[in-house]
Amino acid sequence: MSSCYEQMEACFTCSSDELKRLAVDPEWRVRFAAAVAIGERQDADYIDALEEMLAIEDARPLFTQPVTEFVGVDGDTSLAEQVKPFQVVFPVPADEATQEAWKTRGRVKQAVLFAIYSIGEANERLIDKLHGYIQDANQDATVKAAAVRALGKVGGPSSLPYCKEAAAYDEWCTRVEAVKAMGVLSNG
Amino acid sequence: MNKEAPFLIHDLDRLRERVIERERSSDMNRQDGKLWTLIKNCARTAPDQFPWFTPFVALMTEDAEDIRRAKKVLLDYVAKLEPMSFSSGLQYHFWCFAFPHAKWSMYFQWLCTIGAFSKDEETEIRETLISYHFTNFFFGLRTKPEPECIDNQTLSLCLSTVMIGYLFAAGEKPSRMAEKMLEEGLRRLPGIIGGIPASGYTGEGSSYMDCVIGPAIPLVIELLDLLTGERDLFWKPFAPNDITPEQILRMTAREWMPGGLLLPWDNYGYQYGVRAPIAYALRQTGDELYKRILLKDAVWSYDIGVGWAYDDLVWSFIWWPEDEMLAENISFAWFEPDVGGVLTAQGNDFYLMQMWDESEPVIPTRSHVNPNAVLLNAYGVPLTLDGAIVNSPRFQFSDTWRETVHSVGEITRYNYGDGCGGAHSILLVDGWEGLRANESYPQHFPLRPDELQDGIGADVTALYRERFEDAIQVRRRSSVGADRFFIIEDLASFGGTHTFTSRFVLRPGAVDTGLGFKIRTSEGVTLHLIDLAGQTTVKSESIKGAIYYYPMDPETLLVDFNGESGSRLFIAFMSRAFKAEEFEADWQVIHDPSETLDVEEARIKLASPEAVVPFQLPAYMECPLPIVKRWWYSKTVRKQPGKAWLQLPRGMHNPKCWIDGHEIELSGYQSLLLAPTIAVPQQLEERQQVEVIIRCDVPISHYEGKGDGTMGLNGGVAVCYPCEEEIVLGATFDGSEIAVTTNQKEYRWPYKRMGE
Repeated sequence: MSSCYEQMEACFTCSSDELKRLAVDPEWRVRFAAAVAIGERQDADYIDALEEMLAIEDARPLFTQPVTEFVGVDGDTSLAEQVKPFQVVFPVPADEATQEAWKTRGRVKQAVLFAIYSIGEANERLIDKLHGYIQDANQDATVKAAAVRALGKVGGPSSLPYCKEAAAYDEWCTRVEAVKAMGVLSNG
Repeated sequence: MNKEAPFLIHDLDRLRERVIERERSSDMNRQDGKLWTLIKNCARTAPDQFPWFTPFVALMTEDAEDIRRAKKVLLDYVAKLEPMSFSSGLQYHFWCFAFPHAKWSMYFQWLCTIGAFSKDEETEIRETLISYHFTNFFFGLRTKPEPECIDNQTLSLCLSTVMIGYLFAAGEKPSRMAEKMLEEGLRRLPGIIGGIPASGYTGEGSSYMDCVIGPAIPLVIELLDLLTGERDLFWKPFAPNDITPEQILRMTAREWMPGGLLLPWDNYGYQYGVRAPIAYALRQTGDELYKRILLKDAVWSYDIGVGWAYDDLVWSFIWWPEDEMLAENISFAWFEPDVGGVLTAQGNDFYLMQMWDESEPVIPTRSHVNPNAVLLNAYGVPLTLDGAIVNSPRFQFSDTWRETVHSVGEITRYNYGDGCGGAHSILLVDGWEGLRANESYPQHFPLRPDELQDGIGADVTALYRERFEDAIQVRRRSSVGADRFFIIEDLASFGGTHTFTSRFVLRPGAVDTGLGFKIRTSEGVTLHLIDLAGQTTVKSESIKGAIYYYPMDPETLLVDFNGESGSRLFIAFMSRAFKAEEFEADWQVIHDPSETLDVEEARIKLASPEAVVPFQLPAYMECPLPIVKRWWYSKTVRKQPGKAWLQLPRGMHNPKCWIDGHEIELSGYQSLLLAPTIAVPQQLEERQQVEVIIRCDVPISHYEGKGDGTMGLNGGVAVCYPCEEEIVLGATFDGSEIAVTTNQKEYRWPYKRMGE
């Protein structure tokens, strides 16, 4: 049985069928690599797989992580420079699936949305989903920014109000992508 | 992964030879010799407290114990990766984690070249490092809009992605993920460098320029050199702004003020400068400015956080020029039409910086609203506190609150009023301290050479016109008079009637002279501001308990020159009341691991000291002593009879000092950036020698600054003697000449005002 790392690596060399299988692998890191690899291939044949990937991510308990205590280190950004053992204490018990979802946050979604951007095509259901991500207060800025970027490529006139909403969002990257998308969509 | 040679080390054999050469006692006076001693002592004595030093020491010595220590640190790093994923830092500020991840990946490669790991360990660590970077930081890089996002965060993400890509895409067991990262990172990296404005200043303040952009540039050059085979990349213009890496590093050097602090430009106030990029630039150019900074101004205590790592001293050693150096007293003056400039007088004794860089519209967080703000420094001592006050209720305006998500599950409410105009030494109109831009537009225009004359300055009308539609022109020009004082001229023309305030944000120490406004700092340095136009009234306000990122004084002065005319002509005259001699060498030192000694017990033990040290760094950095927090020093200091002061080292924690048994009150000296200067008690003034005992605590790891850089003891002890302060007795302007009369001299300086 291949390790997670080997499967991530395989995403960039495997067959189309194998990539579609890896795209729905139980391990999110493999799905992330698969989404990046699909983006590279720029093939509309993967649209259904990407839709399925978003469905998997939407079903996970994202963005609900409680404030966590770090014992033995200073938390937040200063953790970047510290090299010493520490312990993570969750205020409420969390099973492994939940913890993995906390680690993932919007990563796989972002990679899927960028793959849609690279392919340059999407069906109506996907476009509706992108609109929904922009309006969903529970989505991270990384997902909103990727969604509005993709809309600039695959959206239509109906996407403009959503892009406008993203342009008013209090996060610089999302605003920049939104303004760019509006420019493209407004010019037909 | 290629294991033939350690990554980015050009000539390993020569570097090892240098280490051996420096270890010879005759070479220990050289700064790189001191650096090696410091790095090795810390890595060997307390590797868990100084982990960032361990891989380099292992690489240099190949000693089995050094390798074991470095290997443990590396394994500790790998072990923290998964639990770190739960931190809001990694989730929301991934760029801070990307750069250190790339550094540890590089250090892993170094350790592999000296056989630190088994085959299985190597495989497991390599795969972990690659997949972690791919899912966290390659992801992070892709969040940054291209090509718009040009800042320290994107550079950190992109450079680290190229580094990981380069390390693991080729050689033994090449990785496809690494290949993908290399391709994507390399595609973006030149554009990020080239997207930095032509001035070399990213607009993010000295902190991010010096602590992230600066340390990244040498790595970018070295890496691109390896990848492209191009030489002279240091001097190559990068599109679209045709900026060279040399210009970027030059700007990081320009942010150094005499005395070793960085300009408090934009968001974070004063702090110590980063050294390795300066060493790299010196190696590349031989330029006297870099040499002067390294030899005269740089503070060598601890490791300043560079790109969220603590290896600045290691890279300072690696890039330290081979030849012995002597520093020239080169001028710190510079001028960049797009961002600001510096004037100096009497060598670098007197220093003025004026800035007109663009502020960030709507919410000025990093790029403060400081149109034509001036910063002053004399004899290496800062005199202004512009931009340094944060989170003070004084600058929390009702319309500058913002809510944002900084941490998992938490919404942070903060006020960005300290980034608005009122917290800076600028011109205010109708008392509006919340001055800021609400839309994007060019905020400054250059003055013509005939308008500048020999000064520096800009037209910043646009920023005022957004709120005051009748604004016709708002300008400030600074220049040097008679190589002795600065002239700061404000010119504000508006269609209607307004109240104009020329505000100066000063350090405390007001002195009543009845003429303008004067301060004398605790270091004995004076600044006298006088409006020669004479149409203003002066008002000062003390902000007590102001909070700074890096503590300065317990009080800040807002000094306002108010009036209805927008035409002002200030002189800024600086002097000092006492002057320091050379640092006193040869201090007896003991450590106090239980932190229980009193002064009498310490005096007895100091009679048989553990070592005699220069007392310019913590003792354990100056010679092989245990790494503990508390230290006692003593010396019989010779002095001339009469009034005298002692200048103590900067950065001492919990200091106490006794002069001939008299305890000197030091509780007012909270700043880690300023040297306490204390008077020798009156009853001891006639002594020719005094016994000085100093107790202080020092940090015992990289991390005591809790993410803001670790600051500790540096500088030294010097005796100061009175010098005759040059005092302004009168100052006038008759329309064509500025006349300044002091207790020593009369200065006459022809001057043509702006607009005439």
